[in-house]
Amino acid sequence: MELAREREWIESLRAGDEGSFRVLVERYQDRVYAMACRFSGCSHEAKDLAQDIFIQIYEHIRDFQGRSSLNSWIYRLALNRCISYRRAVKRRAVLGRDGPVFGIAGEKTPEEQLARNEATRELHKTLQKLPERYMTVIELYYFQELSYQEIAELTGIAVRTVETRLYRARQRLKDLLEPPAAGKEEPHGRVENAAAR
Amino acid sequence: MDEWKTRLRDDIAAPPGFTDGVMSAIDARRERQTDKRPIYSPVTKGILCIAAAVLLLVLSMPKLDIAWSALAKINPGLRVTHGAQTPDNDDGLRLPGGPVLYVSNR
Repeated sequence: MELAREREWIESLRAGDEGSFRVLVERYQDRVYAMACRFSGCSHEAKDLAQDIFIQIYEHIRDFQGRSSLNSWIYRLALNRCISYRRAVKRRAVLGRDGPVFGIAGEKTPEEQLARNEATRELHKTLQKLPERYMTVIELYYFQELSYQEIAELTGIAVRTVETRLYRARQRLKDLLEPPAAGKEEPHGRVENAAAR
Repeated sequence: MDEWKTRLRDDIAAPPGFTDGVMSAIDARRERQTDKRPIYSPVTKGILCIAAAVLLLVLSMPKLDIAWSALAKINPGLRVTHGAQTPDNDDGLRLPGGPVLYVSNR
């Protein structure tokens, strides 16, 4: 029954029904917006980027054939758009620009909100330093909570490669997030070198 | 595994009114698209095509000599008489079994 309703919804989406599309935006807005935030480094442009992704979804929803799940289709489109955004912005060299993190959910006091905001900004800055291939698997595995198999299908790489990239991405993140232990201070620029590797 | 699952969490939510923003952006875009009229009607496009073909033909007139000569070589029975003819004993090309073919030097 649920499946039939879902199929009906997808059909009306493909037919260009606005009400159904509104439901889609409401359903995916947090995930797509968060992805845009992470790829744009929480800059002011995340909102525009997320909006742009939804416009693309609206314009191409007729092409959705149902060969993959709607989830995967949306993530693939969003991911491609985020990656091309990141490449374009990298060329303009404004990536990682500070900006407000909108709508952090679940915190009560302004202090908590502020602290969380700061932590999130730091996390995003670190993620920006990852190469694109690592950023992609981290995004899909940890933030979008897809399985290895789903990531492999979505990105067109082997499951083993997904696992390897995730492992290496975690190693890289570890290097970037954890400062060198006291007494074993490494030469200046270690973080930058790690990011560039 | 995964301490990373807790470390890599940011709980970001879309700002309020995001859905409305997307829907109005889509409306605006659709309006812009309906406002767009094709610059040329199909009839105008046809006329432009014919004019372009005629222009191309006129411009390629000097090349027609060469084209006719090439045709004549393919078909030895064809006599090309374009241009001033000279007597048979000058260096006009004679094809075996066929009539004299005059090749213009232009």
